[in-house]
Amino acid sequence: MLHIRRWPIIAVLALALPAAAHAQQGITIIGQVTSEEGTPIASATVQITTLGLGSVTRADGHYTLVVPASRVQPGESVTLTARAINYKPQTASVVVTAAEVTQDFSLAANPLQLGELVVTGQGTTQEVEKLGNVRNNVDSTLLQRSNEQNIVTALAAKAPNVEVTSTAGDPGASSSIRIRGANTLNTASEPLFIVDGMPIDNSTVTTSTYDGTGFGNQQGTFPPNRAIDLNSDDIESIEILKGAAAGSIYGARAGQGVILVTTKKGHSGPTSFSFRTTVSANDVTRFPELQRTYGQGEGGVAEACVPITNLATQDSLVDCLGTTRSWGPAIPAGTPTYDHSREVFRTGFTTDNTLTASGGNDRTTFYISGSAFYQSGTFVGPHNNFTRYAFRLKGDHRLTNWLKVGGNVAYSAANGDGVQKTSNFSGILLGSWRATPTFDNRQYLDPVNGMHRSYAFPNPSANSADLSRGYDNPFFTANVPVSTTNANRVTGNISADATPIGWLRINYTLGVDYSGDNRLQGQPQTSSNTPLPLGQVIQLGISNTQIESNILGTASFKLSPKASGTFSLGQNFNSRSFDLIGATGNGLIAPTPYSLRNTAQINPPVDSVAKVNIVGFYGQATLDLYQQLFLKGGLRYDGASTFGQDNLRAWFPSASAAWQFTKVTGNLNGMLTYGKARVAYGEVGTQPPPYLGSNTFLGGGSFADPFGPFLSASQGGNGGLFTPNVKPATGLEPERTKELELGADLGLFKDYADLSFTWYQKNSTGVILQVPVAASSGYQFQSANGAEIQNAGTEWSLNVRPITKRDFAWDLGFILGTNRNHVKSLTGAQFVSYGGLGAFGLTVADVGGSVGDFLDYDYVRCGRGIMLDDGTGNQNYSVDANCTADQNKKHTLFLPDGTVAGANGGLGQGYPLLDGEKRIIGSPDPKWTGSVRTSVRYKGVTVSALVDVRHGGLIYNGTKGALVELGTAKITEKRGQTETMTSFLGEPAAGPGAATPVVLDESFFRNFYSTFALLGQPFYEDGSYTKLREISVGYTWTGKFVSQTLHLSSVDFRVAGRNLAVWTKYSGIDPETSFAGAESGTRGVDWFNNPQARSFVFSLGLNR
Amino acid sequence: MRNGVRFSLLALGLSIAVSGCDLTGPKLSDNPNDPSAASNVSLLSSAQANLWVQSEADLARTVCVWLQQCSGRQSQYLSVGNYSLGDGDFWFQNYAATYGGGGLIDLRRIQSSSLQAGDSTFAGIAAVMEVWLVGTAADIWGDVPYSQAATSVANPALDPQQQVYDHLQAKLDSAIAFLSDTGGRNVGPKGAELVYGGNDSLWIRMAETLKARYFMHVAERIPAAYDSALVHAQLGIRQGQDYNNYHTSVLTSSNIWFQFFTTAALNYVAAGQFLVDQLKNTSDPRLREYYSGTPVDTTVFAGGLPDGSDGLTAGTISSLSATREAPDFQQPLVTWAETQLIIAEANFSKAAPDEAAARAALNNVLATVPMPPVGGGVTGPALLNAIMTEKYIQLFQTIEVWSDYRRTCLPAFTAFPTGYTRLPRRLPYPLQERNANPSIPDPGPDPFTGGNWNDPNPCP
Repeated sequence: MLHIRRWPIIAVLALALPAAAHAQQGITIIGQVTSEEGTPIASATVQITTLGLGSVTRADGHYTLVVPASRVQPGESVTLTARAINYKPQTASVVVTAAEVTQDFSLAANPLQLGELVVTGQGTTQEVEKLGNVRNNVDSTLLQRSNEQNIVTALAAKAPNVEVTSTAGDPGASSSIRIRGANTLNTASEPLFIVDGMPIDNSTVTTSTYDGTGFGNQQGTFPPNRAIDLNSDDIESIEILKGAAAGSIYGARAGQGVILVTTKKGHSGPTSFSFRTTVSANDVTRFPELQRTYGQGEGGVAEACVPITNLATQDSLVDCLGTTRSWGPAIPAGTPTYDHSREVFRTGFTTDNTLTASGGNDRTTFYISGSAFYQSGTFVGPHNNFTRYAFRLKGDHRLTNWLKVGGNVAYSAANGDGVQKTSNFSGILLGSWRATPTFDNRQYLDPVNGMHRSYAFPNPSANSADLSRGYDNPFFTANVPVSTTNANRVTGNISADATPIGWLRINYTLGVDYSGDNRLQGQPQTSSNTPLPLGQVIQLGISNTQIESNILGTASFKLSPKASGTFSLGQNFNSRSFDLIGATGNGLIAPTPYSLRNTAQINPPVDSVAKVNIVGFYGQATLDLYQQLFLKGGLRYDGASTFGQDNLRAWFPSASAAWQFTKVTGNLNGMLTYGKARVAYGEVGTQPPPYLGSNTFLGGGSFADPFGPFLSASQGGNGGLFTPNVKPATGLEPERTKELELGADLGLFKDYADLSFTWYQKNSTGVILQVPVAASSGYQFQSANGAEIQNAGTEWSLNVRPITKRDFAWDLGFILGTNRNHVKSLTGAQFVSYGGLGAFGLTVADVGGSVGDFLDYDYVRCGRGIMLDDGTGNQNYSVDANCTADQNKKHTLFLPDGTVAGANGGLGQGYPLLDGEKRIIGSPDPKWTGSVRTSVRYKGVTVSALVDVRHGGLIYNGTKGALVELGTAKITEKRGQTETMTSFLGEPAAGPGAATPVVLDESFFRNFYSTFALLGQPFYEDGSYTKLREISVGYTWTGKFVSQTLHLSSVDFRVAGRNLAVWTKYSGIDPETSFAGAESGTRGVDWFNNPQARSFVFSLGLNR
Repeated sequence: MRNGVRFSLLALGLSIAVSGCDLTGPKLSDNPNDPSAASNVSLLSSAQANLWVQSEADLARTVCVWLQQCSGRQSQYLSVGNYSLGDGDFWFQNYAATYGGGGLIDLRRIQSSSLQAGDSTFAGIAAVMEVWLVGTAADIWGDVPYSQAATSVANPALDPQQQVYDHLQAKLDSAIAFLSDTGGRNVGPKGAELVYGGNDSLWIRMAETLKARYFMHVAERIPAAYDSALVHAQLGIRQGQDYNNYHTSVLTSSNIWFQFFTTAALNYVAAGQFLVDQLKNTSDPRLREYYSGTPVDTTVFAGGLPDGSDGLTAGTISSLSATREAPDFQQPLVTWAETQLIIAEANFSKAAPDEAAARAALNNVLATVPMPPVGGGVTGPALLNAIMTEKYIQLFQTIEVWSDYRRTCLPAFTAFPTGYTRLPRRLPYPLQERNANPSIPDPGPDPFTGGNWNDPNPCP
């Protein structure tokens, strides 16, 4: 933990330095920037635009601006402009003298941010009031309040219809983001991330995807999404380009939206330092309910474990394998039982130390930052942590009055170690929650011989070094296996900003993003999930390179006082290469180390290269008429190596208009201080993945049994090649999304409130899907531009500022988003698979339904035309004929009289029957999502909170469905009780057995009420939740003691909580869950998933 | 001067930017990871592996449970034991593997390219493998795509089961002709074919046994097929020349039963009561050859019911023997014993029955076990029962026992679970195939009330 202790020392050293920029001789202008109410404004810029000089205010609102003697003479007058976010800029003319000049500014509030420049992509900018599309901006204050290191997670609940799902509370676990619903079937699609003009990689790769067993991201450990390499303290602001019109300038890469990140930069003036240290404690608060009444066994008969005899020697061993089920007799009073639901959790800790320094002079500015982040997770054991060091150097230099050059380099080292998860015999919660109540999991090693013991295999000896333990002991999983990621990343770019002629501006950026990640997953001997319980080592090397070149020329013109505009033309080249090499070794020779050369059998290695190039030309024109009507039109022309050879290039047009109608209507007595109506239309694309059209044979492949066993295609020393199951695609084009967006932005009641409303409809056509083809044709799928998906929705945001006094301010923000996803066509197929758990909890995109719908087995219900076996072996019994019309309409549960049989026979009168056909159960998509944000400031104290609401959408609680079969779920305590199905399942029933009470016996639970019995429906639950996502109390301490004794400008204290409370009907561990991570599009599937954590955060900031 | 600097910088910027254009070209769209051509040897290597997986994986375990040689203990195999056929997509893997890479599409590639090269030995071996794969599919699903399958036809139509079997017989005839050709370019796969080392005469015998097998498959419909089966069985596999799947103790080449039992799904499947009791009752030495003693007491052998409703636990039920569960166990799939027992059944059932010949063939097999021979007093239905029971035991872990049962209803089983009067008679067409292929609009005949064409008479 050295890194934690050293940072404060560096900080103290840095803060002890004299303010550097005073060295230069010149004329000094000082002053204070405050609001009209008198509140000092921190981080406001004060600039002399004509000289390219500027300074930034400190926390107390004071600034110092030094003008070099060579640039201005005493007696001359200069124009100073003070700007701050949320305030109207103010200009003042100052006559400079040899002595110090004071100029204070008192800025009027500008809650609508009118006049401020917004980055709109590829180097273009536009004033807020001229935007023809909705703006969603997240500034550094909101990011900091979120206390999240992963900037994707930090975006949760910040903008309507920007759905963020963090996969788990594991340190470094990925988060996925989806904007305005799913409009592609490529499950790993995430928006394009651009940092300071440079696209960056945000991929997520699970180590075990490459282990050859075919289970992929359902197993292994949670990997990070690569945006985690970005230090969130470096971020100044984030613009979320949601719609196609806004994203169109990125053409074929903007199909899922664009996240534009701008990092902080230096300003000329005294060098400022800031050191922030944050510590937090994280724990888990929600647990599944497990029974502690019945012990190990089946059929009510105890079977702890029976000794095994060595078949070869006929010696009796102490080793024994017991049942994994807890359907034994009631546990006698006095027998100790254990709390398996929460015993593997602990409180984890996070420390984060960040130092930034920035400053500059009239020609050169710089920003540097360094940060050390460490998190230990909420599972016991040493393999549950994430460390990230991140550094950034950003600077620019004005070479001549018309040319400025800049550079921006960031380096990060991100290292993590994870715990085996979810659908995995070594998964920590699988082993924990399935364990029988009477087994003490904590003794995961045999006290005598030190071998791995589990509840199904409690007495291991040397004879069982190579035997599976059924399910691994969770404490073994937490303490012994490793799964590490070691990623090093460099992102850098150089840029030039030239104004060769007054009306022409040229920007050029050339950048590179490189990351290399070495993965190691070592599973020890006896690990139950490995192909041989002899241990396994997976090594994987991933490298990701991206090169970007972008040139943009912008000409400004003014036709008359009533008509002006700009014309831009640009060219963009982007090349990405994703390389990986991985190998899996089975059978550890010695118990450690976890290295490939310490394994007996190494599977054929996996190596692959994927290279994608894209070249785009783009143009954009804006026209401002009568200072109230703002028009914009754009066109992008993209060529990409993954477009089919017949369609190498594609056009993406866009157009938008904004009309500030209050210029005509007036402000209606202050009721409507500002009103803008806007309309935007645009087209964007999603690039096809590479090589879908190439006709090749598969090398290094294998043939698998659905349960995991496989044979390599290479046998007897001969390399095997075979035809892949995906047929080569012909003539692929980019997926195309056409979106119309309408909306209005209103300033209400003298700007005490503002309201923004947006309606959109987007049609995505040519969506690439793996069209299922007849398996008898020799292939199973073919990629084609086949599907059509529609998303339509509304977005509301309302901000209210009831109190804006100098010492007391209160504001409230509400956002609300609705989105309706509709799959209109799948090229003839009724549904296509879209992730899910495989056999259970299958998610699909289905025509007439939505992307991600659940397809699963249900009970026999009325109204579905189900015919049952009438006992003669013939399907002659009509369910619907035995239900009323009303019941047929509502799909009421049908209960038989015992003479008819469904898919799984039946238990008799009054028991439900299983329906043999999979049906659409529902959608994980919420009906609406929203949040409420509030902040109250009294003098230096600010209290803020963010409540996140998700209404509707199903969650598959497969965990419960499995634990029922295992006999550990709390509900199985009802075993032996008599109840009607109506009361047990909580729904009305029809049919001759409707009112018959039945015994809830083991057979019922295991065969008619568990996920293992071809049944899913009862385990889909309402996933609505309300989360107190953030709450914080901050105090900014300024004053004489701080400035004169501590030599600081301010000290910030903050106490915060994250995810402190969750209100939900969901009975599982957390309704915000994603068992396969951001790598998969699967939503709403909970299968022994690692939970989210609650955090208590304390932070101290020293600023100078 | 200053303008010169400005415009040279501008030109530099543009040139860097525009140079990118050359990088979008057809070369970049070619997959750098995999080859675009495959040799016959590399395709055969895959085809063999595919065949072995298909003959040892899910379908084999399912038949093992249904035919009560195994019992389903947990999770999905409890459903199998309960005859939950669902949409049949549980077995989609087997269906797809019949036609896809390593299956029909690649076996046809081998045949056409080896015939072009004049290597009819190679073509003959691939043709026999094709028949085996498709014959298995036809037996399970009945009418299956064949003539249009793995061609350029997008939605291959179902060929009537009878026609498929006819084509397979013709295919075997031509395979035998190819294998009999002694032209100089008939190199064959040699050692790359890992069971018979590419030996053409062994492959001819294998082809003859398969001819006999597929005549038996249609004999319930076409009694004359017994005579044809007899003719070809007599030319079939000789003792010691069984087609046993090739496996080694290396994981990637190891027996799928081994992988399933030791690693993938512990305790999902265990020994079946019917076969264990049969072997116990007759003191058959194969009891120990096939099954292990129970973990609690290795001298006790116990099998479970298909649906696990027997009160046995992991400690008190037998599993596969160490021999059968070894990673390098060479799984017997097409054997001399099967050939002999076809001879026995065909002699018994043909239009002019020859019970003595039937008994002799049965006794040939019993002698190798060894089990006491069947005496002359065993005649009529008792003799057929003895033949079919022996075949049921001999063909342990293969799916042929299901076909034999549907034809002869022997050995006689009690169907499980309650509510079912008989064993499943076919698999429904998998949902994925029905979803994608309009030529297959429904799941096909009911698996319990309606059988395939070759199974006109349900067992009681």
